[in-house]
Amino acid sequence: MSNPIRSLAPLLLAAALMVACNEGGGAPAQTAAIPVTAPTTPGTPPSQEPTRVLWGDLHLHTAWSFDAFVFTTTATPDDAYNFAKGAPLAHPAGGVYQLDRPFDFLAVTDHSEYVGVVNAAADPSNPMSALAVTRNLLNPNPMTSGQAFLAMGAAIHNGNKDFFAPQRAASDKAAADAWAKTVEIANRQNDPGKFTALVAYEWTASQGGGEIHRNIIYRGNGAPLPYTSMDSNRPEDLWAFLETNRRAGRPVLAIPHNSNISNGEMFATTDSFGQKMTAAYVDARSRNEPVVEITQTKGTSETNPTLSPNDEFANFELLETFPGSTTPITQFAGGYVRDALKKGLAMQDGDGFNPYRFGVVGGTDSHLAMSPVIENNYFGTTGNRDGTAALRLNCTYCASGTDFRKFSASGLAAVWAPENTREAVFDAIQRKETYATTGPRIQVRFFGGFDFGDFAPGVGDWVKSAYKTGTPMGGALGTAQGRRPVFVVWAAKDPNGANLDRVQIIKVWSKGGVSHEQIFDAVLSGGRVVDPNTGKAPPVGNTVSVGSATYTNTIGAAILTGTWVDLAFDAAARAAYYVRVLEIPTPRWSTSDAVRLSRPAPSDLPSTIQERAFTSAIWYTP
Amino acid sequence: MEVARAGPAKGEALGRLLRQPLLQFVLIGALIFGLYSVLKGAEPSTPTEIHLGPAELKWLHETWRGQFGHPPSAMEMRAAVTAHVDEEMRYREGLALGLDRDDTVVRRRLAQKYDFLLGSQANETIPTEAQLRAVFERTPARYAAPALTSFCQVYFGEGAEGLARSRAAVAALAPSAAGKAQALPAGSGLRPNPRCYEGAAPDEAARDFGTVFAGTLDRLPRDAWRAPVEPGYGFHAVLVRARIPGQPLNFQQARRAVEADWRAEIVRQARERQDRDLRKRYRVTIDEAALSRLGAGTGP
Repeated sequence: MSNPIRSLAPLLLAAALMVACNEGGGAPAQTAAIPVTAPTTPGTPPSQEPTRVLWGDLHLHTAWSFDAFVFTTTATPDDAYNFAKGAPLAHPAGGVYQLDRPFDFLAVTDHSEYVGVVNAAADPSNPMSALAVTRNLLNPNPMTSGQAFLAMGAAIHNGNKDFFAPQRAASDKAAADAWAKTVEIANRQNDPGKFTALVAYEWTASQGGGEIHRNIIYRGNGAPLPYTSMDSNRPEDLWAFLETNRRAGRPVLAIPHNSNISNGEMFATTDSFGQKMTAAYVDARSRNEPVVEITQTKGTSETNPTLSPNDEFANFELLETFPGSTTPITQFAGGYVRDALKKGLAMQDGDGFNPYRFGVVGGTDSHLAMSPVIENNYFGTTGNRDGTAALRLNCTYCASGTDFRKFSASGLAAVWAPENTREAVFDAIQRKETYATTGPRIQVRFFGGFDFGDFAPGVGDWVKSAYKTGTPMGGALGTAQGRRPVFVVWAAKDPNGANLDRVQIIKVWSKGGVSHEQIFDAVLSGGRVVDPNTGKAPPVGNTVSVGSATYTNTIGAAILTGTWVDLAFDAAARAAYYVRVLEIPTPRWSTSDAVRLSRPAPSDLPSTIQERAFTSAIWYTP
Repeated sequence: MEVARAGPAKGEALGRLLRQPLLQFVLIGALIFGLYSVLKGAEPSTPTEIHLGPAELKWLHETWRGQFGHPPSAMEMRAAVTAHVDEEMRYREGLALGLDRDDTVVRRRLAQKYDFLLGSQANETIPTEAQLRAVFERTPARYAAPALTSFCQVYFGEGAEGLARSRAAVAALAPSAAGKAQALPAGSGLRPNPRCYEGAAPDEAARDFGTVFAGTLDRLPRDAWRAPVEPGYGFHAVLVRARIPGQPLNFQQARRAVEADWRAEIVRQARERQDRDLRKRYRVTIDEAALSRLGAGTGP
């Protein structure tokens, strides 16, 4: 079942989430929303808050990734950082793109396997340039280079460091040079207080049928030669390598991604040898992997309708086949974040340890050195494969297994940090005070506690109070002492984007080794209420004109805020709570593409989507 | 083609090819070789000669092993040889027909590759302090902090209600209070943003209130509350208190931007140098009359 194509081709989709009332007959959502226009105390404007939100991409490839260069990307890490800082950048398939607002941070995460080697081999003065493998990889016909790319993927999968065999020395030297330059450029582009450039790379491993890739992020300015999947494709070995770095004074962490195409391996119930997990395994995993990437261009990994049949919003940007393959994904358990959170709680009940107590971030996984996160300005992820509206909508590469129409304009990481520095961004990820969006810059504050005192979210110095008396996203509730937990959420729309539909709190819990999930509409826009019979709220509506790919902010709300009490709280059951914020429907990128091409929107794709944010959870342990 | 043979069953045209009997493949290869050995004897150094000696064959052998991790079998090796010869013939015939020149994809790809090599060389150079200072001294005025705006804002909510409330609040101000920061109540207060910003750059305003708001700030009068101003969240009243023109930066403050410019500059210079070299070797003539007829005006 080993399929190197899957494990390496760039990819697809995403999914999403939530359902209400997986069981227990669906208690009605308990809301105590404060109306947006509530009168407030005069004076006392909020002073400096302890943290502010920072936006960035923690997953981006440049020409130094072997596959990106094959896809005709020639932009370097320097170009990627400049793009993130707001500069325009030329697209390999034509056109020039620019972010509407700069990012605050970026991690360039080129594949560590053969990093910088393919672009070095393109240099006629490099001895690798004469090799047939090189010529095939750089063949202008995407079908030819695609086959060569798959062969290279197979070599990586098999741990073969001799793909450029007669020129192994030149290949190794090119990789070492590229890594030295990667570090040097990140250090040069890092601008403390203004912009954070993280030293990072991607470990591109696959074992069985799926991808178990991780992005490796360093806190400081130095890092040894990167670990590759050719050194080992076992996460246990990667963690050992990272521990060695940590002991040497180089803090570092790993971020798993695309669990949706891991064939259920990312969040399995065993270690990578198929053995029962041990406390040592779980310790190592938790120490090294505080967060996972929940959404990106190749799909959203929150949940899947199969796993969450009662979640009316679960069918969101799901990847249906493995990348570069027509093989459908059928193994959902172990591939989605909500399922892993539940499984972790249940495992703790049984084994006494939880391998899946992690937070979430987003990233794009674009192979263009630029992040495609804006729905009406999507430019693909894969160079000359999907770089124009026609290439995408014509299903140009569907026959060979990659339906680029299913890719998403998705994947932003948001962190709550006291300042914009490497240390502050890294530490926020380490403590899981992070969340993800599918592109829009939706701001979300989320606190939980048993005794919040008397304040209203959104008013005055409420954030300072919340930090003092509660725990932010990623944290843990204290002991219940007979009380119910209270959660406070504040969400604001992207000031350049669409209004918000609703704020949901998703509760997962475990009792006696059996896990459950339930979704609560904590705050609804437009004065809607949850139907006590169905447990669901009426839809927010839809203002999208598919023919022109436009929408209006005449429905929804700019800001949603409220407090929510878990009335069904069971002090004896382990639980985790996270927030999902939904925007009102807006045109999917494919609808905008269709308008550009003067053709109808594809009938087999959603013409509108509800973009969203997902926060890290807050945990309760009895 | 070799690639497809061992690759995981993927491509469709390739798949069909693979389903052809290997024997047939090898026979055709043998035929081609026979033909070429004849040609070789007759016309030793014409463009139609393809010779695979020990070095080339060893290279094909190694390439195979590099790609698939094991040496080719006899039949695989034969097939690789055939495929190579096949490709080489087609490649040459294609060149002779000018297919490379007529194909925009090939043309652009080659040109991009060429430029990329140039750019990556420039990327690797480390500038000296003196070089950077020279760049800075040439155009110091280029290095200025962005213009800053000091302003206060109060949020009144969305929709008709927010609109009416923001208008009413400003209209009710006494003339003596029209320019005072604390003259308005706190509004709905639901934004976490500060009431007043001291010297905010356009990026900061766009970050907190959206890009439209950042543009609007430039057009508001000073020292007078104005409403409605509609940023991304609803309706605000805004008081612009000061505008600070972009201040020149000294070398140390501008160093980062200077280095970026220096880097862009050496890439540009390298490209110009390359253009000059190329133009020396090519004689380019353009039919100015025809160009003119196409609306491009007269030449320089």
